[in-house]
Amino acid sequence: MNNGPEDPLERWEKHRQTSRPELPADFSQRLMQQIKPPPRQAGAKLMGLWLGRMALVAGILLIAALRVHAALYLFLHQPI
Amino acid sequence: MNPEPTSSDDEALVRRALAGDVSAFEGLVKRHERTVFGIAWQSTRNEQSAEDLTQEAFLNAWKSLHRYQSDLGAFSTWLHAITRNLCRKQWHRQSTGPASGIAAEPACHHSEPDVATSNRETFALLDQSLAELPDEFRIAFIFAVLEGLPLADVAAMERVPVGTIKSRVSRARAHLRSALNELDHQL
Repeated sequence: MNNGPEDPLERWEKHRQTSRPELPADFSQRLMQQIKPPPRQAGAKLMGLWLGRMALVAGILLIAALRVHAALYLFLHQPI
Repeated sequence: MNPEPTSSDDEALVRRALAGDVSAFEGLVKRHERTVFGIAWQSTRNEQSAEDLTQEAFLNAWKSLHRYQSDLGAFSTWLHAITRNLCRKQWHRQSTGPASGIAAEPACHHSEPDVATSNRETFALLDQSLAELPDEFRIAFIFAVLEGLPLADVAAMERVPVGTIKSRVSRARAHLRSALNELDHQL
């Protein structure tokens, strides 16, 4: 196989390097339309998730406490 | 058109983007879109697929920007690694999927039809041989030879010494040459 400028491998490499198309001019503009929340909002989202969970646990505990309270009230106030 | 990206400029843009400045990320996109698209096109040989892959690479980069660690390498290396992973995925999808996504592409325009036909056959054979290479050789060849990225950058992306990338490129070339030799013998 010859290695000069007529080398088919070199010709093919050159062809692949030079024949590539270009991105549309508005590529970055279109891409940025898909990018909305900044990355720091990921942290805010995580915090929101934790707050939600904590609120749920607090709600369950409150209901449990109310039920215990109601049970005790009924027990202490039942006619002897 | 775009200024040559330097690592320190990239770092500054990354910091601003992480602080919520979307326009800073757009700056990063503009600085690197041409290279990422070039890699994607050399990998897919299809303009639309390459554009989709470029878009996916930047969206992935945006989503995981907080995970980028500048002390482990340049932003461009990190971004190219994201692109490489997407290219790999695409290759494996194509190899397991129905038809190959390699686009029929016009070969060299030449005045003599015989030469053009011969070129087209040779180029198609070389395209096919490149697609058959194991991933690491294919990646080294596409990034270092076809896209012309510095060997040190490709080595950093692959987390191997520069010598390994040189050796992968040379073995890829040897594979392509042997495919050409086989074609010569057939003719």
